Amino acid sequence: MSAMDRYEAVIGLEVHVQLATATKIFCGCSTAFGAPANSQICPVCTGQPGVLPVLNGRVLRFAAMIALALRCEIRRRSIFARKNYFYPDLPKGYQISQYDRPLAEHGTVDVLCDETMHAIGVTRIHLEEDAGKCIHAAGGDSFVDLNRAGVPLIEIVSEPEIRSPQQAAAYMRTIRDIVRALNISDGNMEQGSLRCDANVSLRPRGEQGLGTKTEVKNLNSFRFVQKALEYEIERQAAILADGGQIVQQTRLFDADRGVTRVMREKEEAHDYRYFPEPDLPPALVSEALLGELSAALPELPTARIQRYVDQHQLSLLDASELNRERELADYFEAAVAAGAQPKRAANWIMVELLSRLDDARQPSNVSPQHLAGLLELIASGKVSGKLAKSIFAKMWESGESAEAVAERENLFQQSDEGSIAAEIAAVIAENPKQVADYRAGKEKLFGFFVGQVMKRTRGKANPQLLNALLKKQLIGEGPSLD
Amino acid sequence: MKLDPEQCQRVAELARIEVDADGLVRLSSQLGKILEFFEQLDAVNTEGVEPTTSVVEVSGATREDVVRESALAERIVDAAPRRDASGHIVVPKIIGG
Amino acid sequence: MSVFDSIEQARQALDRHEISAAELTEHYLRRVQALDSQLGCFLHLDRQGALEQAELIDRSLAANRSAGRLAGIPLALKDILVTADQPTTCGSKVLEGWRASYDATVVERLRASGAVVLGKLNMDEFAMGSSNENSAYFPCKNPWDLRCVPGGSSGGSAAAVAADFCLGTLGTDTGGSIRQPASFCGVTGIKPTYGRVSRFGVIAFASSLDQVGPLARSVEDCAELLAVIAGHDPQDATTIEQPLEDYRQACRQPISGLRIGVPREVFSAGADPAVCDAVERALAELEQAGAILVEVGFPDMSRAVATYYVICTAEASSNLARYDGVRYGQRIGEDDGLLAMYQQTRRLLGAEVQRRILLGTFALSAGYYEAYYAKAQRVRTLIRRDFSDAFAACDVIATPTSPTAAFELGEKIDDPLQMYLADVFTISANLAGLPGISLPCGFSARGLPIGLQLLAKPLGEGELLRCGAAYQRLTDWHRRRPENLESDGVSR
Repeated sequence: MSAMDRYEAVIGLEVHVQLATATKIFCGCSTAFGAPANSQICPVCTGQPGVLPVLNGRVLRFAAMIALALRCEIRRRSIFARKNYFYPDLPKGYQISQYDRPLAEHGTVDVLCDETMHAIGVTRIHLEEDAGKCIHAAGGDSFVDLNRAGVPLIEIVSEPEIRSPQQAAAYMRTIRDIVRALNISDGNMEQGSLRCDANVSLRPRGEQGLGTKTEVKNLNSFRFVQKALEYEIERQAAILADGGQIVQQTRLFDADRGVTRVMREKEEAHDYRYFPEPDLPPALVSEALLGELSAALPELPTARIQRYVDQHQLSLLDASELNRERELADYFEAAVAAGAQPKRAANWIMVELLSRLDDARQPSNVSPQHLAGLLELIASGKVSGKLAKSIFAKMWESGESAEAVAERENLFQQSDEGSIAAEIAAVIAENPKQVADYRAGKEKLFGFFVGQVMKRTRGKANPQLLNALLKKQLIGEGPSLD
Repeated sequence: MKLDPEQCQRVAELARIEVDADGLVRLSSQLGKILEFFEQLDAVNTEGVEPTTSVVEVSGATREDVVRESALAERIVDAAPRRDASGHIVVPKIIGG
Repeated sequence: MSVFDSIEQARQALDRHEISAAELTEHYLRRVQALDSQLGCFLHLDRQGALEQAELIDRSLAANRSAGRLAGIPLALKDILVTADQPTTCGSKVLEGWRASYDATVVERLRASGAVVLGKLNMDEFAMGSSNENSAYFPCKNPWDLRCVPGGSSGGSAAAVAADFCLGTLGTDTGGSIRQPASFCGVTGIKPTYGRVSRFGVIAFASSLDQVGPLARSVEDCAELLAVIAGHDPQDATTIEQPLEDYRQACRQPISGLRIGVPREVFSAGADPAVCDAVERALAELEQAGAILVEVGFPDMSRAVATYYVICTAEASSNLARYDGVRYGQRIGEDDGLLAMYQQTRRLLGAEVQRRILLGTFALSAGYYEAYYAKAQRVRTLIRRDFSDAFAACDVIATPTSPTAAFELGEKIDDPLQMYLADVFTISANLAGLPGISLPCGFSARGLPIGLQLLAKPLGEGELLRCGAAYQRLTDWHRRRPENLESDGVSR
């Protein structure tokens, strides 16, 4: 029996989201990614003597949106606080954050994992500024770039209600999906727009108390979240199974080796000396703002998934696949709105469309209306399912409607009995031996005749009609040839 | 309260100020006296009294999210005691967190 | 050249082309160069910059173009105000050699109004001190008696006005740092309501207490300067949006019916008899002019001192964390690694600054925050309540500015607590964010100036100007000048 069978993991995540504002949280410097070192800085974000912060209104707006989306209680007057510590990338020697009166508390987020919805509690959401970036070169120096100093972040802290690494990764994805749906962050993990620290402890299954936890830092992809937690849980389980004790510490995930390593012990923990930031008045969220934001809140991915299941009878799996990206789900809905049958539309999107996109957020060459048009041609029997795929391929290249492509390429299905019968007659006439064999009982040859007719009609013959007519003509009931 | 040199050392470390052994003895006695003076606040009944965080009522007006290019970036980097050709501020290697 | 007793007088002489801004500037520069070696007011004198600015103003004045309310008026700035064209050290070695990349909002406003900035004035390092002896460069001395301190932390700002080195200065006041030196040097100084003047570009000591204000010979001159520097600043989120009242107009209001609150039992217990006598005489004169004296309460002063020092040291410990040798100013010890660089660079901070950083770090540290910082902020709420109770019965409150006249250099330097206790009358106003003014109201037996402090409700600057200007119409204390500086025959 593995050690893990005896223990249950208790996981809480702290997710940092960079908000997609044009400027930093407390000054007018640009937040654009990838600029030359120290080019997007000013006296305020570099902590020059005498400077003061002024809050970017959009930061508050965006943070209130995510707080609403996570069903939090929103504080009308939240207080900024200083978190004091020394580090070369922290220009003022303190980070402006929020502490005992954060913007929002007591929320929940619905996370889909293993085909089940889990409601994970959100402890708090607060605003803060990012620090700069230090590059630790091989020599005796470190190099400080303050372009990122002052970039707006929100920190979302979950309740310790996550029970597995898979759930943790799903929670992260859900947060990413939500911030993208709200258009408040690009959620890009490679560029650090979404970062995560995890707190994890184990307890014997069935128990309610909490074990000693470790904090794992530097989890900058969904895979790392899962891998690091899997490793950390195994590590703790092995210690406990041996009768050992977990040491409270901060650990760093080493992605190259797939292990976590001690970063600092609890005794070395910082004493951050939080106190209310005297340079900033309370951040005020008015009822009017909340009303406006609530009214404009888009449907969130999880709600959309549920709706696709209820309203369109899609499977949970398909519904969540379509909601992998907001753009994809929007596409699906536009196709349905244009008259496409939902299940068919979902299949076409997930098979034909996705295989052609490098990234599900990329715009499609085939408009949702054109996809709906194609499905309509299939449903009405005007094109065959098989030909439809090649029509779609051509639509992808030209951007034309299905009608236009089918017209130009002459790909409409033949449903004219007379002409199909004529083609069948020609095939029968050309293949007397096979006809004789068939009539002698070699029914397998039916497919051969279908193929021959299709070849003559370049695949356009209506298959149902062809089957029916062919059967009749092969057993000699067809219209006779004059 | 009394502040022993060890506590004083811990505070000096937090504040990143180097204090030698003699200094610690002198400072802990000086600071101890001032802290004792502070202790008269213990006698004040502040039950149910909210702490003051700001003495002004301002409307909480915020800044518009419009980029203001600062022309001062270069000047700020130039003021750094050490910097490299690509515009980084250079400091002795950072070890640990 | 004739003596100018006020900004208004100089303004008229300039407007009538009786004197040019360059001549006026040259006059004051000469005085500074001849006499400041005795006093130590200036940390930096910008002769060339000042004359260039003055010549620019002269061209505008010659063309009868409006060049601003303070066009051609020579002023000087406490070295805590950040300037892009002159060094700013805040009286500290840690900023030696640093050149700011921007101007403080108040500096921008002065320049926009045409003022000529002569240079940067001495101060206690990071504004921490009441004597100017904590300047990391050299102490500034009192023009009335060179053995005595000018007060602090804006000691250079008060002494420069008293010595006629310029027509006005800006200082900052965190716990009395404008009013106490104004009192010690026999000049007028105003600490505005917290939030009335922008702190953008004011090097922070204690952010919830700091406020910029003018020092000058008279209430009216202070009003002129205040009218230029005050007002909402989009770069300081703690500035008040409410429009300014007409400060010039306020100076002309009669004081009949003005209710002056006198917390007599408090100040008579804490101040020298000579100081009390001078203040009592001043009150009697104001009463004669129509003011009504009423007895009021005052916050417990020893308690206020404790509250103040917990809060200001806590905020300072955080505000001064940025002097770490990374981005600007001095850097020491980097060959021994990052930690050594931090610790050695920060040893450049003076003894008092280090002491306050350590006190504040302690007051915020885990396990002590509630007992010290949070407790002090609660008591602060009670102090604000005490004031709002007192102001229910009066328009202004009068006290001595300082319990004593100026003391001698070295007299209190070894006893920080003793030094802190001398701030009893001034610090409550900072804790409550109230405006205050110090007016010369007499002399000690030794011939040192004594100051009368008036406090008002938030945004009550007009009441202070009204009462102060009326007092100065009745008396001539503010026109007295120290006699002992003219030994080498430099004209005023």
